[in-house]
Amino acid sequence: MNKKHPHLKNSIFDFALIAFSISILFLIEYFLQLVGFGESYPLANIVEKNNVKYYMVNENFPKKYFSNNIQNYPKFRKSFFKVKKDSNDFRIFVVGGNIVNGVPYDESINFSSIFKYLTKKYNRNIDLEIIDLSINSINSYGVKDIIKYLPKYKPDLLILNTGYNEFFGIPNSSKINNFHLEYFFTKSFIFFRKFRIYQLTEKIVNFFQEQNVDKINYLQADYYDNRVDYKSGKYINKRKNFLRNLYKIEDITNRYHIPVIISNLSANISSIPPFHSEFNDEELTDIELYRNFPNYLIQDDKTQAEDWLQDLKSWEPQSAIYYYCKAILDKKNNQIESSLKNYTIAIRIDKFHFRPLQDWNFAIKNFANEKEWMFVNIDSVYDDLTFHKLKCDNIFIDHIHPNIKGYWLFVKEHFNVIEKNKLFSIKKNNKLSFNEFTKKYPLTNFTKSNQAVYAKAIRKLIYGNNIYKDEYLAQGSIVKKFAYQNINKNISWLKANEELLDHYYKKGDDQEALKYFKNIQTTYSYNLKNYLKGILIYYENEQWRKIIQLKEESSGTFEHAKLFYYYGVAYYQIENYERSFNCFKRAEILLETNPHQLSDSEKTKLYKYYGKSLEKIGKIE
Amino acid sequence: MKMKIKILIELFHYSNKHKKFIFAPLILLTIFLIWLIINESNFIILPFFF
Repeated sequence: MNKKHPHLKNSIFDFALIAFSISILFLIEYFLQLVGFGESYPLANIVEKNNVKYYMVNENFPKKYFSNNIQNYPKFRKSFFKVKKDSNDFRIFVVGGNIVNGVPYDESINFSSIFKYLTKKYNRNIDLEIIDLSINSINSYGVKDIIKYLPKYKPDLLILNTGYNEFFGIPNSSKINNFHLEYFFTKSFIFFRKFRIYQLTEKIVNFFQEQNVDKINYLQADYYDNRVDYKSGKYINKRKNFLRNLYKIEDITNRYHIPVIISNLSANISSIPPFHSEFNDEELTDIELYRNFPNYLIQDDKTQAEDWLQDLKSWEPQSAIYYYCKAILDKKNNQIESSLKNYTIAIRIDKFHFRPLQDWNFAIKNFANEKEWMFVNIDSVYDDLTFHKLKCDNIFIDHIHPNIKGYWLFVKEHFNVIEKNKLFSIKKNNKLSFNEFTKKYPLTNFTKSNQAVYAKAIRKLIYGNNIYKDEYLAQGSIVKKFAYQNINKNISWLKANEELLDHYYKKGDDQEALKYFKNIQTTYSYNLKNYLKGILIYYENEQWRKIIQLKEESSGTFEHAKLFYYYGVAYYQIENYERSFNCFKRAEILLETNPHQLSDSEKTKLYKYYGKSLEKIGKIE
Repeated sequence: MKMKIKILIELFHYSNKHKKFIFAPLILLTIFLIWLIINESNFIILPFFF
């Protein structure tokens, strides 16, 4: 055969030689592992204490993300958790950067210590294991890498806070300005670090390389390399890759059914001047410019301050420091709205994005909504505590790190979300054995491993995340069918709810249909299709007050002629003719551009009601 | 058996003739690793290497 096909023989030989070359690499790698060279970076090691086996978090794990010649890299906190997890243990992993780590406070103020205190204070009868895996200045690439290790340790909850360090954090992300390449290279950097061949090569290269003194301090050197323009290509790539990392994390948590709480980002906008403005005159610096300004304010010399600002405007109209000073003056003159606006602009055009901007929060919130992650809106909590949302040093200790009060609120909000979702009690109730469970709720197609997931899916389909009671599991087969499909990823949660809503509506069981409508409303309140259906059910049942209540809750969210027609009728029925008239008028305007939004018979009814309401308010006779 | 030895000898001769198939992957990977370390994931100069 070979003689007949010499080309085939040659290509088989080529392939064999390349395979041989690669197998040499594997052999070297294996040999280095055998002789114990380098580090394997395990997340936790097994230790034994009083005849019980525990996992001990590997403090030196973060070294994986730092260059070899950096000695003072941050370490994980020492924590232990049981190898054999009891059914009553509630295991939380906290992953994130400075904020969950409690910078700049010591051991007493950080996420895990405050959280432990809160569970004790509120007498939650649960064996809590909270494992702190936070590292200073870590970015989402690192967070994603840590989370890859977690499923093995069977977490009950993952608490996530990331997004602060995307522009300059650790591990160093590639500086190439391309969305896909940046991701690929950064990922390959993290990937190669765990191989002994890489570590060996690193040792050899470092031996010949001059030690760079600047780089000993791991962040200092990077600050000035990381100037980013707002909404520039680089800025957008970073944000996209941040979201890409979140998607990857979601892949993992979804596969292993780990609930996640994610919090948004907040920053001190008013007490810290911008870090770096773009000046036309390269010799200017923010610090020098800003030095004089506070003096005028202390002397209460408004005219001089205004003159100074006018000067600055004529020289450097687009500098962050100008907007910052303008904001201070506005605040002094009690023009709060304009002040808030200028502070925001100053942060936005600051070249060092140490402080996160609102578009990141928007992205995080949308992501959490889409993926049904629990969400902590810490930014708005801080907003409420500050004078007209001008977040300052009553909450923060520097540009992003909260003070003790801020940290307490941060943890308390997370605790509240856990309480609200009854995560602790779900855990306790899952103690039901599989045999008992199948006896109580006879099922097919379910194995032991997904009983809890199944129970959760049914619960979510019936009452969102809010209520947990055993008896709801015994719902009709149609709910079980959709729960099953939902678990197997054949159907999304929203779709399952929509189908159930349709099913019960067609069956004529309005009460049951409304249950699913409310369920969708809790998470997808902006879903017009569902909203219209809910209103239609109320309309057919003549529950006018309910329609108006819904309208008030969602004011301004939807623009649809049908909606305004329903609103109008509802107002008409409760004899609020003025409002009814306004709604009909709005419906008419909307119909001009979208005539198909109402059927012909509905249009006739609309104009009939329109005329009647006009009569009632006395505009025509 | 004879056949297998014959093929192995043939492979050996072939590898002597076409060394690139053994060494090129090794060298390329080594260059890539060294470059990765020196630049600490700063990949701007990648195109100049290859």
